[in-house]
This record gives sequence, C-alpha cells and structure tokens, in this order.
Amino acid sequence: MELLNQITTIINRTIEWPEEIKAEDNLRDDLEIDSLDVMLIIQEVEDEFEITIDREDITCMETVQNIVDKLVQKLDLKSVA
Amino acid sequence: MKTKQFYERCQLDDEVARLAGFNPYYPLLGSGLDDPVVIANHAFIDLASNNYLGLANDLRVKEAAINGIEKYGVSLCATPVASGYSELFKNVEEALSDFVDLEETIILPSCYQANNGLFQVIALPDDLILVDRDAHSSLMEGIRSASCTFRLFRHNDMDHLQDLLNRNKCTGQVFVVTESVFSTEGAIAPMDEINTLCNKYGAIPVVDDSHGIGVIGKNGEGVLSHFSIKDYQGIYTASLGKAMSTTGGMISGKASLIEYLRYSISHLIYSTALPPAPLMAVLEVLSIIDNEFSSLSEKMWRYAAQLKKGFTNAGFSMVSSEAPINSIKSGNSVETLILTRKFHELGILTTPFIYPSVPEKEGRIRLIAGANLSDVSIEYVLQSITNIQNILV
Repeated sequence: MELLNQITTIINRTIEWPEEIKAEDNLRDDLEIDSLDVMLIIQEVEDEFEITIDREDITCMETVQNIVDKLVQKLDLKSVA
Repeated sequence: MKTKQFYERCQLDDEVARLAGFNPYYPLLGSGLDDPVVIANHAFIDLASNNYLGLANDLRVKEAAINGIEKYGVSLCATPVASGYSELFKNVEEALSDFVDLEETIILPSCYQANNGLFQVIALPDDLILVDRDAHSSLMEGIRSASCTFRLFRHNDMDHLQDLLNRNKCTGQVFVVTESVFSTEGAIAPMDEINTLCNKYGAIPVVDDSHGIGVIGKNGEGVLSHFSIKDYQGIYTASLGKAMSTTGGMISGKASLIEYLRYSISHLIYSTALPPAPLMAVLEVLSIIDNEFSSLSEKMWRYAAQLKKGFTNAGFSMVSSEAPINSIKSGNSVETLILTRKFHELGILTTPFIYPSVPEKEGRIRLIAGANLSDVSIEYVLQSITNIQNILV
C-alpha cells in the first residue's frame, strides 16, 4: 500500500490528475497518460528508489499496478543482491 | 497466410475520421500558397501552412528559383559529398551561417533528416541526452537511434532539467535538446536559461529552431538572437520549409564540428543534394527578410493577435502562445475533427492535432496566419467565428 501511495504521488507530480488514482487504473484509458509521460514517471521511480527499469519493460506497463509490481520485483532483486 | 496477415495489419484505422464524417489530412491543393488557396475548386483562407512571412508564393522568390534552375538545372543528381555540391550550395550555407550568427552550416534535404541523423553521429554509448518531453518527433526518433541513454525533462521545466543535470552520473558528454518554438502550442523554450545551465554543467545544447528562424529574433534570425545569446557553444538545427518558405534543413555550429558532420551524417552523405531552385529561393528569402522583416513581422503578429482576440472573445479556449501561433483546445479526437470540418465548410484551412500527436482529450486546432494574407481574409475568419461557435453549443 505504501509503495502504491508513493507511485501515485509520483504520477500526480507528472500529470496533476484531479481525482484519486487507483491501482487498477489504466495509464492510457483512465489517466490519459501517453508513452512519454510514462517514461517521465518511470524516470522518477528510478531516481526515487535507485533502481533501473528496462525500456522494454516500460512498454508493457498498462496499469498503475503494473508499475508497482515492477517496482516490487526490482526492490526484491536489489535486496537479494 | 503470413502475407495476408501482414496486409491486414498494415491497414489504416480511420475510425476517428469516420465518426467525425471528415478526414482533414492530405487536403488536395490546386494552387500554390495564394490568398486564397484552392482546394477542389473552392477558395480557402490558409491558416494551416507554416508560411509565416508569406513568401512561399512571392514573385521574387519564384523568379529566384527559376534562375536557379536556368543556371544549374533541376538537380545535380548526386549527393553533396560526390558532385552535388555547387557554388550555390556553398553560398547558401555561408548565408545561413551569417544569418544565425554561427560559424558553419550544412544543408540536408529536410530538418527531419537533420534531427534524425545528428544524434547517432555525435553521441557515444557513455553519453547522456536530456530532452524536453514535448520535443518534435524528429528529435525523439533521432535520439532513440543514438547508442546512449536519454532522459526526458518536463516541458520547459528548468528546475527539472537542473535536477537531472545535478543527478547525472554519466562519464561521457551530456546533451540538452529542445525545440525553440514548440509548434503545436507556440510556447518558447527558455533558451537563455538552457544555455546558461549547459555552460555551468559542461553540457552541449541542441536546439531545433524550425518555428523560430524567420519568425523571432531581432530581424528574424531566430532563437539565439531572440535571447541575445552570444558565443553559442552548441548545435543549431532548423527547417527551411517554414518561415524560410522553401525546403531543406540546416545544422549549424562550430566550424570544426560541422566539418566533421559533413563527412559523418548518413542522411546528408547518402541523400541527393537539395536542388538549385530552393537553394536560390533561400538566398532571395534572406534578402527579403533583410529588407522587409519589420513590415512582414508586424503583419504576422497583428493577424495572430486579431485571431487570438476574436476566438477568445467568442468563448473558445485558446492555448497561451508566445509565438504567432494560435491553438484552439478542441477536445477529443472526434470533436477536433468535427470542429475542423466546420472550419473547412466555411472555407478556412486549419491544422488539427489528434492522438497520438497529442493526448487523446487534448486535441488542438492550430491557426497560423501568414503575412501574405489580406486584411479582408482575416476579417472573413473573424466574422465566421460565430458560425463555427454554433456547433460547440
């Protein structure tokens, strides 16, 4: 839940969405985020959590939850390393 | 079976045009950029082209182009590096360098090719490119084709750019890339601040001045003049097909770099040289700008202001613009095309921007009034606003 809040804060910083952002929101259809804004959001996620997300992975992200899942995966890998 | 799937995959999705009952793209012009222009035997006021100074159909420019053909023919049928590099070509390079006050210039068949080809030559794998998220697709595609990492900075957000420069850990060269005048909405990049940040962090600025050259600057010299930037250490690209009224693209900068690019950019080396007619026309356009910029510019800005006032007073939601570009906020893709159709029915040619050029619900209709338009034409547009407005109610 905390990660979701951090992600929605980052999304809001980029697109200033007027409503509550939910995990199941589709980035394009619900939040009207285009591919360049997705990149901006992922950059912020990378900076904030000190991880790197592959460009190929970004194109597969359709929902807010997808970003959270990828972040969890990267943070798990980081803790193992 | 695969062939069938391929052709099914490569079919145009024209659902938006069908829903709007109108496809505004590829209008079939039956005239040059006169006032009015002719489409399907009907007269249209041209608010669509980028003919800012209105010189594309100027008699003097046309005569210059004809003179170019008479001396050199229609083409030199070779790339510049082979036998396509004429005295005229060199003269135009020098004239453009003088105009934008940079050391040297190369001319490519288009600015799209200039921007596409530049980054794969100048950027190495350890470098980093920082680019405005609203930069033109030619810059984005060129950057994506480079071997290095790139990152976006929020549109014209200097705090974000500085933050990215501060965080930068790359060991190579950093480039900061932007457009000068953003063509959809008319915002101008704070090039003075970008230049200062680049100097501070040892980054190379790259600016595409396609909608700035011939439009802004003390005498139309573009963005560097506009911001009184002296001793620019970066790279400058621009289209010659907008205010410069012809075709082609330029890359200018320090002489040593341009000489390197002259032998490095595939898009220049392997493309047939820009033909003599537009080259000669560029020289004439530069001469006209030199003598008449203030009067042409006054008309261009006056028309833009009249349109802005007229549409704003009529209740249209207009984008705040710093350039002689007016953009109407026109809703989603279908709404944008329906409004464009209304303009079209009234004999007014405009440029609609729909998804994916802009976000789905942020359609824009762009209006650029060239200095070749008459006061009568602008008055006609202003009087037509009520008719256009009716469909929005």
